[in-house]
Amino acid sequence: MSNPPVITVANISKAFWVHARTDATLLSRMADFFPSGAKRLHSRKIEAVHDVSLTVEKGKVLGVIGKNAAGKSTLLRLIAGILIPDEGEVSVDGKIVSLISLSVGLRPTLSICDNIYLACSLFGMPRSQIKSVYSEILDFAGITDATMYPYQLSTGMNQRLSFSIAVHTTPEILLLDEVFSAGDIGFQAKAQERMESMIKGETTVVMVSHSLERIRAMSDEVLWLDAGSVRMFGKTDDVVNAYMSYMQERPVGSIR
Amino acid sequence: MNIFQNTQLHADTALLWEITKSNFKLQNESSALGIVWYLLGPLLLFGIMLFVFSHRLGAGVENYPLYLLIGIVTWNFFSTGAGRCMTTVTGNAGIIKSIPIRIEILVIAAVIHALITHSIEIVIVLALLLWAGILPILIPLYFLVLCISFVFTLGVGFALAGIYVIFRDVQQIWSVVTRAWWFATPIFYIPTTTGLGKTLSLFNPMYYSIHLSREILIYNRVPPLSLFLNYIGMALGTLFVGYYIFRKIRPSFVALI
Repeated sequence: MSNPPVITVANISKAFWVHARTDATLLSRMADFFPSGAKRLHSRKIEAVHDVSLTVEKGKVLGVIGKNAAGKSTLLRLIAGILIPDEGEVSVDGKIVSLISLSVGLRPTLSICDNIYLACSLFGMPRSQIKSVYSEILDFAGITDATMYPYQLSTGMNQRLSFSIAVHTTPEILLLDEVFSAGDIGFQAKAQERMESMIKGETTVVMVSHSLERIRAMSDEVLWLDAGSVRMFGKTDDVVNAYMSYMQERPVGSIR
Repeated sequence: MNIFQNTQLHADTALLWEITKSNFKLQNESSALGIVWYLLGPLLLFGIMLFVFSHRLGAGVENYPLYLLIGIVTWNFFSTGAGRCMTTVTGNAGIIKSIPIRIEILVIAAVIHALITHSIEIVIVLALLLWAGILPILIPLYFLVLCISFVFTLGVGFALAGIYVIFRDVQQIWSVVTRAWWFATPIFYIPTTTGLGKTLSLFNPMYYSIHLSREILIYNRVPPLSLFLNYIGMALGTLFVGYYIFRKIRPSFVALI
C-alpha cells in the first residue's frame, strides 16, 4: 500500500536572467531602459528548470542526479519554497529542512553555542526544543568546546556541525544537496547511519548527489535532470544505469 | 490551522530573538570598548555640537543641551535603523538562498537592534533630565512616540532593503539624502514657524518625532493630538509603501544576491 504524497510538483518552470554584471549600478540600470543596453547587460535568459513534475510519498527517498548546471539545486530551492516557480505549482505537506549549503547559517565570529541557537532558529525550532537537542548536536558533530568559534575550526568540522544541526531539527521533509562529503570517512558513515534511521522514522528525503553508489543505496526512486528538464524518472536501478551509460558515451568534460 | 499559526508565530519570534541577539553580539565582536561605543559615539557628537552651536543657536532655547541631545539620539535611531536594514538582504545572502525563512524577520531584527541602542541612549537622556531637575512625568507618551518611530523606520528600512538588491547605488544616494534631511530637520536649531521652513517641517516625519520627544521629555507638555495623528499617518503610510516595494522585489532576491 502506497503512502500519501508529501511533495507534489506540477509542471514547474523557472528561468533566470544571467546578467553580464551582477552589481547593478546607476549606469547599468539606466542602460536597462534602452533596448540595446538591455541586450548588452542581460546576456541571456536561462531556463534552469523546465516543465518538471514529480511526486514523493511520505517516508520515501528521491535521488536527483544529473550533470552540473542541470537544475538540481534550483529544483531543491523550488521545493523548499526559497524560489517561486514562474509556472506550475509546488505543494508540500510537512516541515521542511533544507541543507543546500554546508556552511549556511554559521557566522564565523559568533561562538559555536550561539551559532547552534541561531541556525536551529533558522530551521524553525523554538528555544525549548533547541535546548533539548543542544548536547546531541555537539556530540554528533564531535565538538567538545562550544565556546570556540567556527573560524577556529577546520572546514570539515564546520560541515559536520552544519550537518549535525540540520539532522537534529526533526524535519518531516529533508532536502539535501551534495552534503555527504562532510567530514572524514568515519563521520560520513555516521551521517549515513543517521539518515537511514530518519528514513525509517518516516522522514521524506530529496537528495541531490553525484555519488551514484550512495544514490543507488539510499533512493527509492531517482529523477534524472538534464538541462532543466526531466530526462528520466523511475526505479533507482533503471535510471542510474541509463545515466551511467549516457555518461560513458559522452566525451570527457562535455557540459551539454 | 490555529495550532499551525501559533507554532509558526512561536518559531518566527524565536528566530527574531536569535537574529537580534546575534546582530548585537557581532557588532561588539573584536571591539575593545564594545557596548561603550553605543554611548560614546552620540555623546562625542553631542559634545562637539554643543561646543559649536550653544552660543549662536542655543541662546534662546530652554535647556539647549538636552534639546540638542534628544534631537541627536532620535535622529540616530532612524538613520542607524534604516541604514542597517539596507544591507540585510544582501548581507544574509547565504541564508536567504538556502533556507526558506520569512525575510521580513531580518529587516525587523535590524530595526530592533537600533532600538536597543536607542534605549541605552534614552537611559542617559533620562539621567541627564533628572540631573537637570526635570521629572519626565509624561514618559508613557514618549513610548507611544517611540512605537510610531519604530513603524516609520521599519517602513523606510523595508524600502531600502528591497531597492538595494536591484540598485546598489542607493547606498550612496541614501547617504546624501540623509545628510540633506539631517540639515532640514531641527536637530540643533529652532524650527521656523513661517515660510519654507514651516512647510518643510510639516512634511518631515523626523520633525514630528523630535518635536514630540522634546515636548514630552524636556518641557512636560502634552503635544496637540493633531501632531500625533500626522505622525501616525506618515508612519503607517511609509510602512505600507515600504513593505509594498519590498514584496514586489522579493521574488528576485535569490537570483540577484
